Amino acid sequence: MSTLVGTDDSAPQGHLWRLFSGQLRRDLLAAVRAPGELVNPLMFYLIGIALFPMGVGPGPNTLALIAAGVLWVLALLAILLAMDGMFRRDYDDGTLEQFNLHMQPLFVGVLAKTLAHWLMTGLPLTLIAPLAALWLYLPSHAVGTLMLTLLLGTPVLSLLGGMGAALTVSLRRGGLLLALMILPLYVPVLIMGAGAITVVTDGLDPAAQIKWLAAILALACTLVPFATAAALRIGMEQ
Amino acid sequence: MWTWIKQLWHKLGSPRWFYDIAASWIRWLLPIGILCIVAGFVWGLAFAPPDYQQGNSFRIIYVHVPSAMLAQSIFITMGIAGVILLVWRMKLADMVIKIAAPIGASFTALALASGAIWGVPTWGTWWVWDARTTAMLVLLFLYFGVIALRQAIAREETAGKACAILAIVGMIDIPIIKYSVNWWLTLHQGATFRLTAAPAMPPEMWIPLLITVIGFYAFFVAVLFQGVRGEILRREHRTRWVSELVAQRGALPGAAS
Amino acid sequence: MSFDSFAELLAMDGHALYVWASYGLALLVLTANALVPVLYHRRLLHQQWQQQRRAQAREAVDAAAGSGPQHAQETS
Repeated sequence: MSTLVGTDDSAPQGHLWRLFSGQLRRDLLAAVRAPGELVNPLMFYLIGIALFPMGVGPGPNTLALIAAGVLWVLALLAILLAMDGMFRRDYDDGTLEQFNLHMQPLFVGVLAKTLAHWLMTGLPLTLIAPLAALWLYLPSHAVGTLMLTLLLGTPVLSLLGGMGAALTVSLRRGGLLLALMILPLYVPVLIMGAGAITVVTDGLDPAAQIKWLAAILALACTLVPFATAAALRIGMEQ
Repeated sequence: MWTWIKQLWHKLGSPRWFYDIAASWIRWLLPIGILCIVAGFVWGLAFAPPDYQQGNSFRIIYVHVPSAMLAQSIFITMGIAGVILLVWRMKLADMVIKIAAPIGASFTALALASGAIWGVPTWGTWWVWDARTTAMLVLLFLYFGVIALRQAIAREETAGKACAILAIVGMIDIPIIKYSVNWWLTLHQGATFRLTAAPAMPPEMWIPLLITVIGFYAFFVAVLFQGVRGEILRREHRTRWVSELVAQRGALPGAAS
Repeated sequence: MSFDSFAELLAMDGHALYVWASYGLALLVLTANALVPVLYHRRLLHQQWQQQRRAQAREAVDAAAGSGPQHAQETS
């Protein structure tokens, strides 16, 4: 009896899952074929981090003091710079129009594209962050928190950035405008992410900040794809 | 009541109806707004007692608090208008977002500037990263984003809907930003600065504040409506009722309202 | 009145600069917000009225000459 109901229910669910995984696979394949897009944000992140000791001075105390903020601010900027390309290629070759027409419901496709984009930017960035933390003398017991906050925070950055990219997809030069629109929306993630690391280096428990990041991620996952889907429809009208 | 709301809703779909009805609203709201602002300012400047700690510099409150409240309300107005535009496709909502954004940005800037000026005698510095100032600054950036997006997209209809989405997302984000900023401050400073000096203001202090707040809101609605009327005139310039109106009024030198 | 004289009101116990600067800025923002839509509306009405008159004049010339579009283009 229960299996019967299960098979009945699984038909539309399976459809959604096929849509989701198909889009995810396509985007990941496209990204693997153009590895520059995978590497560039990481390079930017490392170069940006390396600029700080050159600007502030090599003193370990000063650097450790600003490490949490710098690591997070540059993560924000690196993801933001990568966002512009999320829909760009698909828009240029016309795939996005097909995507808009055939991906029903659209937000499932958006979610898949965002996940693919995050797997190519946010996840590698999270993995490379310990190296950057080393350069800034972040206490080693805070590295785990850094990675955890990035793991929870960067998907939010990708989701919100994807919405910005969808809003500016039809514009030739959307990059700066994207930053202007989206950076203010990144403020809570920055505060909670960098805050958690500061709390850990002060020897306190970062559970509250991390729970906040998780809550923001859950909220963004459920709401932002709808906004992005609406933005894509609007952007394709012209 | 419900049928009345429904009728109003349908009428709001007609720019021409709004163009006329807004004029009669402005005739009431603008004098009320100006009167309340003048009364509140004069009361606050000359008649309210000085604060027991801050002395006379506390009188900046009658500029700072109304503009800060209005700045936040305007963004919420834009967010609600965004929902109305996307769900019911009401053109008027698009015009409201377009006109309200620069007004909101100007009041946010006023709140920040008056707060900075207030900071000098109170804290001895032009800028303090306190919770409200920081949240206001982020709000100003949100306004800039909406205005920039509007200007970047050439096609008016697309620009309107794109701004609506950004306004909605911003509106949802505002409470999260405010909460996180509060959180950030307790982490970095321990004690928070408070702009309102006394825990309980005496009536001769808060009544002028209330009057000024009412004045600012009435003033905003009047100015918003006048802006929307201009926008209607521009967008509907090919329609017959506008050309008739133009033929009637354009020749007059005082064709303001 | 919480001040004894007008001069004291102006002086604001040494806080004159801050208080009056804030109120000055407020007046500036309020006036600008009030004037911009009114002036825009007035200019728009005037512009559209001029366009209308031009169009009417063109029509009048066309009607008087009773000629084709070539002539209309010359006069405009």
